[in-house]
Amino acid sequence: MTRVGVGLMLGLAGVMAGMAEAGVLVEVPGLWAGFAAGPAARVTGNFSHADLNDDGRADLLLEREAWIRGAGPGWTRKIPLPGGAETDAYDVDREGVLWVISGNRLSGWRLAAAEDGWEPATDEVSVDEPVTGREPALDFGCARRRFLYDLDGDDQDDLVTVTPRGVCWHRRQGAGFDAAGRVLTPLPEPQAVYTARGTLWPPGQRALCLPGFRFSAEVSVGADAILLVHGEESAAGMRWTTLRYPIFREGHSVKTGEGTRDTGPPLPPDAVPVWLDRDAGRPGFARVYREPDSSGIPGEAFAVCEVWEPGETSSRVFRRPAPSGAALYPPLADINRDGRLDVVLMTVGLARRGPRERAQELLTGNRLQVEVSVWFRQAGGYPREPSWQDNRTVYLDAPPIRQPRMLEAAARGQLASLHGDFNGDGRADLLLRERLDQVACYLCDEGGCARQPVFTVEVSPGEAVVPADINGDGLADVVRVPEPGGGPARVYLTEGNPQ
Amino acid sequence: MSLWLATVWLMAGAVFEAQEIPVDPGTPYEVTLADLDGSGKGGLAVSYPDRLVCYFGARSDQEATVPFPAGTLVFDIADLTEDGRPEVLALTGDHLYSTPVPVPGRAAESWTPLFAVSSDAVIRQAVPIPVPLVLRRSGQPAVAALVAGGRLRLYRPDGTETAAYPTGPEAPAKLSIGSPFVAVSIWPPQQGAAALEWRVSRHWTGIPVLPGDIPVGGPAEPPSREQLTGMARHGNPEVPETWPAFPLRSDGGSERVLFLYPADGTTDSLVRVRRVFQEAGRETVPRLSTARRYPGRVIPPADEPPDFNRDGWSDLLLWSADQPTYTVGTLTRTIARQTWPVRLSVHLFEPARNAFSAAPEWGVSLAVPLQWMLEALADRLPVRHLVCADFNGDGRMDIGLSEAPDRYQVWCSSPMGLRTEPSEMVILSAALEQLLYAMDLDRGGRTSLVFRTNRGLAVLRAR
Repeated sequence: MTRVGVGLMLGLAGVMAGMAEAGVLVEVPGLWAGFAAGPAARVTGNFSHADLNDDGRADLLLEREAWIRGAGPGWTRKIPLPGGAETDAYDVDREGVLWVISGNRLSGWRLAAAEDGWEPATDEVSVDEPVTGREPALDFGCARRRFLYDLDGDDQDDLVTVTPRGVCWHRRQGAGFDAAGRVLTPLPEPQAVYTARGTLWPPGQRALCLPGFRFSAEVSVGADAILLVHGEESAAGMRWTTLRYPIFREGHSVKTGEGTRDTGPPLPPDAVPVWLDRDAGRPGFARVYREPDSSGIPGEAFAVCEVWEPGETSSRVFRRPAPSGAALYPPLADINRDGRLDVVLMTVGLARRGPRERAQELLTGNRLQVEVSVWFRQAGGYPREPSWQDNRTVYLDAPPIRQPRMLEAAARGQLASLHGDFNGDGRADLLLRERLDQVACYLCDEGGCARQPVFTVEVSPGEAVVPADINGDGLADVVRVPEPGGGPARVYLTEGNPQ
Repeated sequence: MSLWLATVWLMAGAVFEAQEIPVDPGTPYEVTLADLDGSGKGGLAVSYPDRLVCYFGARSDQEATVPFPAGTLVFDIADLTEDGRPEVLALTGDHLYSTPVPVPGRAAESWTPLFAVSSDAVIRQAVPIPVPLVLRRSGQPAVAALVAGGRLRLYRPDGTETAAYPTGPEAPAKLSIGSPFVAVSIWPPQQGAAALEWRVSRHWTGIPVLPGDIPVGGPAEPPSREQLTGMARHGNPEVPETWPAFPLRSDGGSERVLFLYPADGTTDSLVRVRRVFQEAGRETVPRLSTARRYPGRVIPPADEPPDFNRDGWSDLLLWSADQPTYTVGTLTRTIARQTWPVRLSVHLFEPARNAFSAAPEWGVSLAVPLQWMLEALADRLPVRHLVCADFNGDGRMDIGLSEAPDRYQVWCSSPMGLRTEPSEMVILSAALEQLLYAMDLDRGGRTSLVFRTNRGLAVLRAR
C-alpha cells in the first residue's frame, strides 16, 4: 500500500452501534465542528465538500487532507493537500480543481488519476492584492475559504475577493485570472469610536483615551446583486443599513449599478442581522437573551428570542421558562428546509414544582426536562401559538445536588439540537443526549417528533455531540467532538432511511 | 472617647453615610468622578444625553446642572485655564467648548467655543462619555489633547497647535489590539443558497508611541474577577502556566500566588506559590511550591491583593458553600427562604512555611440569594461587590460585601484582626447592581463606595 494509500477503510475499524439504523463509527483526526455563536443555529467547522475525482460523490476536505469518498458512507483514502506550509487557504472550482493560495499567488491542482496525489492543473498565477486579506491565525493550518464564483456567467469560476478597497472581481482568463481586480462595491469607511471611558479623577490616574475603529459588515455576493449590511452606533441605538448594488452583465464584463441604501430604525445593540427569508432583499434582526424571573421563584428565568421583521420597529417576542445556568440554544433555524428561519426554543431544567417537590428533586432526582417549542415561519411571519411543542427527559449521572456532569453539559448547551436531517426527508430531527454516555435521534415532521428513537449512539462523557453532514451524502451524521487534547473526533456516519 | 459618645457614634452608622441619588428613568447615563471645585477631592458627575449633573462632594443635596452643547461626543472636567477653578470641556464634531463648573444651586454660564477642531469621524454614542481632554505635563502649561485627522494634537486654550503625533493603525504603536482589516468567508451562506458571503471586520485600538510624559490609557482592561475564576475552572492541573495568579506581595513584584479549582466536584482550591529566593553566589531562580488544597474557592483580588495583617504578604480569601446535612426538610427551607449558606474566610500567608495558613484567621457565615449561588456555579462569586479596603481610615484593611441585593455590610479590622461581627450594615431602598468606584473621595485615607442601583446611584461615603 502506498503512503497516500494508507487511507483507510476506516469504516471497517468502526464500531457498530445503533438500534433501528446501521451506521459506522469513524475516527476523523483534525476534524472539529460546533454551533456558531449568534441567534441563528448554524453548524460550523473546518470541513467542506467537493467532488475532486468527478465520480459524483462529495469528497471531504479538511485543513490538511482530502478524504476520498468510496461507494459506501465512508472514505477509501486520504491525501495530503498540495501547497505545503506556505498555504494560506484554498478553494475548489466547479471543475474539481483545487486552488491553493499563498498571499497573492494561486496554483491549481487536480487529483491524479490514480488518486494518490496531485498534478498541476495550471501554472502559478499572481494577482495584485493578497486574496484572503488578513485573517485570524488558524491553529491547524490552512482552511477552505470561498472565493471562486462565476460572476460573469461564462460557466467558469472567477476570483472574487474582499479587500480594504471593497469587493473585487478578477475575471477567469484561460488557466488564470485577471491580475487587477475590478472594484465592484466599495466598503464604507470605518468611523472612530472611544472604546473606553476615561478616568478624570484622581489626577494621578488621568490618562488620555484615544479612539479606535469598530466596524463590522456582512457582504453577500449573489447572482443578481451584492448586498452589504453594516451597523452604526447612534445615540438612539444600533442603526443597520443594507446597501444593495445590482449586478449587470454585458458579454464577459460585469459591473454594478448604483447602490440603494435602506437604513432601518434604531435597534438594541445586541440585535444582529438574520436572513429570515432566503434570497430576501434585506435582513431581519434578532437577539437572544435571558430575562430575569418576575415570579419570585429562584431559577425561574426566561429564555427570550426577539425577532424584527425587515424594516419593522416593533419586535415579535418568543419567551419560554428557562432556569439560570442552562445555556440558551440558538433559536433560529430552518428546520423544515423551506428557506425560512423557524423559531425553536429549547430549554433545559428541573420540572417546575413546589418547594418541597423541588427539594426532593434536587436531593434524589435523576432527570432534567427538555422542552421544545417550534414556531414555523410562514409567508406572513410567525403563528401566534407554537406549531408544536414537545417534552423530553434526559437522565442525570447523579442527583442535581451533587453537580453531575450532565448539568455542565446543559450549561454549555450540548444536550439537544434540532438541526440535522438524519433521514433525508427535508426536516430537521431531534438529537438528544439522553444520558451522559448516550445520544438518541428522534425523527421529526411537521407535527412533532417520534417517541421512539431511530438510533442511539454511545458517546464518551467528555464529548460534545454535533449534527453535521461530514461525508457529504446529504444526511446529517453525529460528530463526537472531544474535549481539547482528548484525541480525534469521531463521526457516526448514518446511512439514511426515509422511514 | 467616652462611652456615651461611642454609643452615639455607633448608632449613627460607624463607617458610612449612605445617600441615594435618583437618575432619569429610562435614560442612558454615564457616571464619573471628578474634582468639581478645585479642592482636589472627588465629586460625582452624571452625564445624560443632553446635560451634565454635578454632585459636589458626591452629595445629592449639592447639585448643579450644565446643559451640553448640541452634538457633544465626549467631555472632561479639568482646569485647562489653570485659574484654580475647573471647567467642563465638551468636544463636538467641530468645536471644543468650555464653561466653568457652576457653583451648587447656581445656573451654568454659557459655553465658550475655544477653537474649531474636526472630530466628525467619531461615532456619537448614546451619552457623552468622560474622556480626559486636558493634559498637564510637568513644568508646562495645560493643553487640550485631541485626536483629529489621524493625529493626536496638543492645543493651547486659544487654539494654537503646539505639537502633533501620529496615531492609528499606520503609526508606530507600543500596543495594538485587533486588526485594521479582516475578511472571513462564511459558509454555508445565510442570505442566498449559492451566495458567497464574508464577514468584514475593522476593529483596531492601540497605544501609539508618544513622548513619555503623555500618559495614554490601555485599550484593554486587566482580567476581571469573573475571567480569573473562569481560568481557574479551566486550567490544567499539570500545567501551572495555565493557572491564574495574583501578586504574592501586597506591593506587587514578580512573586505570584497561583490557584486552580479542581474538577473533582468539590469547592476546594489548589494553591501554589511562586517565590524568588536570593541565594548567595547564585542567580535568583523562581521556585514553585507544591500544590496545597484549601477548603473553598479562592477569590482573586479585584485590583490590589489584600494584606489584612499588614506584613507585606498577600492573604488568601476563600468562599465555600456550606454543605448542610441534605434532607428534604433543610432543602425545602432553603428553597422557601431562597438563600443558601456560604462561608467566607481569610488565610494569612506564612512566609516561613511558604504557604497560607491551614486554619482560617477569620471567617463569617452568610446567607446569599439562591440565584447568586446558581450563578456561582459559573464564574461569579456568590456574594456581590466584595471590596477589601480601609473604610474607616485606621490604616488596616477591612472587608465589605453585599449578601443581599439591597444591603451592604462591612467588617472592620482591629489590632486583633478582622472582627467577626459586622461593623455596619447599610440597608438601601434600591438594589445595588454594580460597584462603580471604591475610592478615597476625601483624600483622608477612607474608602467610599459608589454603586449603580436599579433606581439610580448610591454613595456610601466613608465618615
